[in-house]
Amino acid sequence: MSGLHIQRVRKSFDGQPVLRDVDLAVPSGTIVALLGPSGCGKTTVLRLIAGFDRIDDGEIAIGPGVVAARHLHVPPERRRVGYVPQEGALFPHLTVAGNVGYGLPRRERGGTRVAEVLALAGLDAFGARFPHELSGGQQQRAALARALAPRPTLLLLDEPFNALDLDLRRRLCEEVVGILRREGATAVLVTHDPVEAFAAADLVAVMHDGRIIQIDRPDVVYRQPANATVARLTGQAVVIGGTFQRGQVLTPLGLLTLHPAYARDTGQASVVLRPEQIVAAPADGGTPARVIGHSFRGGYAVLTVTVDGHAIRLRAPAPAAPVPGTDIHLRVDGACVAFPAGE
Amino acid sequence: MRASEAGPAGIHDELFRPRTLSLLLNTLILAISVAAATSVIGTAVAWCIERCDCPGRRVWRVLASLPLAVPAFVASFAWSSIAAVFQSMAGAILILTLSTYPLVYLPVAAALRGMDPGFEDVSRSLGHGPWRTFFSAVLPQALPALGGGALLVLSHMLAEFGALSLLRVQTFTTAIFASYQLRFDNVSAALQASVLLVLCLLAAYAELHLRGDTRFARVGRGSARRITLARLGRATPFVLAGQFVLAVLALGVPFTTLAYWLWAGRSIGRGAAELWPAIEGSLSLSVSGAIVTTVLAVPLVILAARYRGLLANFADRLPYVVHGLPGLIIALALVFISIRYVPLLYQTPVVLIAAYAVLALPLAQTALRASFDLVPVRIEEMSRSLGRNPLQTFLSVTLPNITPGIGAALALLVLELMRELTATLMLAPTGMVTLATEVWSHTNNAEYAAAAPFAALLVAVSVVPVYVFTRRTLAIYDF
Repeated sequence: MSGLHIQRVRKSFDGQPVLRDVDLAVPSGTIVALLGPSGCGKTTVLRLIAGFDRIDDGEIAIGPGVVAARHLHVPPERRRVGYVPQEGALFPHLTVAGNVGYGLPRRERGGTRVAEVLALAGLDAFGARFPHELSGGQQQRAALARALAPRPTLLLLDEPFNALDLDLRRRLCEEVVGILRREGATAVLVTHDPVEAFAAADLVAVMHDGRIIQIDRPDVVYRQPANATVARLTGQAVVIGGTFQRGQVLTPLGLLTLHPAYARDTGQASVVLRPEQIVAAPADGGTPARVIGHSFRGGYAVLTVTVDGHAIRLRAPAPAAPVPGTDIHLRVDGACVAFPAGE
Repeated sequence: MRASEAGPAGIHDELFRPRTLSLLLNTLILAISVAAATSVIGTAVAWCIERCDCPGRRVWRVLASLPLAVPAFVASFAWSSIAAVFQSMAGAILILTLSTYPLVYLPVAAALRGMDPGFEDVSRSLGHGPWRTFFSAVLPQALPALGGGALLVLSHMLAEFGALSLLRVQTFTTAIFASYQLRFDNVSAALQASVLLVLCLLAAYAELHLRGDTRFARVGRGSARRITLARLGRATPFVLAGQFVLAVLALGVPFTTLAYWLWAGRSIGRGAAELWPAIEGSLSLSVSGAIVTTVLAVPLVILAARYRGLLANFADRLPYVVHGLPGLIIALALVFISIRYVPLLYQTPVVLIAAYAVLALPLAQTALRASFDLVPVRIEEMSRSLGRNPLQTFLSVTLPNITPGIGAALALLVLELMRELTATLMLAPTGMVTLATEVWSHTNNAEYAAAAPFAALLVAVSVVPVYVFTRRTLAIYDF
């Protein structure tokens, strides 16, 4: 059995709890994205796995071996874990090839592994350069190559694309995921960007306030969030009030179908919709609404509409988006998600 | 330690002897007068240079920090060679004020430059005039810097020996040195030293507190700020005249006198053969002192920068405490220890180098800390995760990256130790001379022309540490 197993890990800094009972299992060969807002403890989880900090309680196992427990701390150099930090953190006094070869045993440093990993990272021509002679994207690729070179059992990436501009960030992310797949790596990627998490990972673990509150396939996390917080952290969400009615939910937008897992017989509900679920409908088949605001966003427009006195923000295709003052009709596509109000 | 041998009655008698009281009085008068005078002059100069439309501000900026390049005992050599009248308490206050006011000027100037001018604008818009604005809005903000500078001057004055001995002013340091030289009265030296030690530790303690506060006041660096300069108008000629007189007194007099004595002494025909033993002595002592100090400082710096806990905290604060100890007391303690426990080492350079190491440790720690802080903890962690243990990480990542910093610290220490006089005088093996001791002994014998070449070399050597100190002070207080 390989992979990563984290059980009930706790960590406080100066008496301030940062992680409260974190559980996480990463099967061998999968990529897990750790998604959460800044300050939720994602980076702390990575640092504990790498062994840079000690855990207070719980257990971390990499492959078959326990590396951290209450009175056990295997030092980072004996964990065989690769780490790609936010800023790359390349050794400034070594060339790119020197950086990549750093983690290899002495006899392998002159061998083919360095060239092989450099080629994998698309840095064939840059081995002799120093880190400060590279662009931001190249530095991150070099950091990845350095981490991959000693064939770690587990790779940790701490928001590795954060410092790059959006376009480069998406491209590099795709590229890095390609590299990880080719190497068959087990990896944990920390990010606060849901799009990045969905694109890169087999599993998304949503973290909030020192806990992992849901871990599942990207589409499940997005379509069936465990609670309203997960819904907000994984993308745009429209939250409206309603009442449960025997497996369905009554809202200003009509009687909506629920995912079976969320069905209840009675009670106040807080209904979570994705903006793309609310679409225009013909006059006879939808709920009447009036457009009161219109904000252009490029490919689409964000409309503010009132339905029965409630204001709702939704998306509409840009060229045909109605102007304020127009009366339209709306319906909801697909099953939706609802939680008992006040939860 | 040594003082306890006198017994309780002896201690009481010695402490309350009229002589001790008069020494205490002299020491305090000197230290407080110089600290007060440098505070006024340093602040005034800083304000004129940094906040007024005074012509030639760049030139004045350089001139105002340059007096630090002239060690106080060299300045005293220059003044006392002009007339015996300067060999008095008043003369000492004048000369020491002129040579140490940059210690106040530099931090205050940095604080004034970095200060948000918004406060002044608000104060003026609330109807306060320029003077009231200065005292109610500007000065309070510059106070930590001013206080730090003044305390630094105060502790320097408590520790000053060379200048005071050349100017024939009796304070604790000169009295301790005299009784030490007489040998048979070592107990009274030890008692006087303990009183001095108490004064110095009080000053160091105050400085430590002030520094702690200053650190928190450093916020909002790098924000855009534009300082509007006060217009001097008709006061311009007076301000210029004042700065000119100050520059003439603080720089013109020592340099001209030095040049005069160099020229006057040329006929005596002192050649390289006369200078060489002193240069050799200075170099060999300061280079070995610098190396030993650096080797001692590196682990302390690592401890302070990378670890938490009691020991690390101690390592972090050590320099500020040691910094307050006068060279004289350190030398005295080492004489005592070496005679009592390792008599073999007494009268060897080892004892002197040990004294250098203690004296220069604060400087070494700050210099090394700066370069050590440039190595991110991150890259050390990367090295660990790539399979290297802490020692291998230090050797293959940390050390290569701090080597330039270590080199710079070594050079700075060598130059700083060359200026050291007190400990060198007391601990150098008989017959060994340095540039500093040659200046001192020749001036003491009123052989001014003979002292001049050594003094000139010392001033030349001093320019580098002064430059570094200037840069660092401006950076520290630039909040």
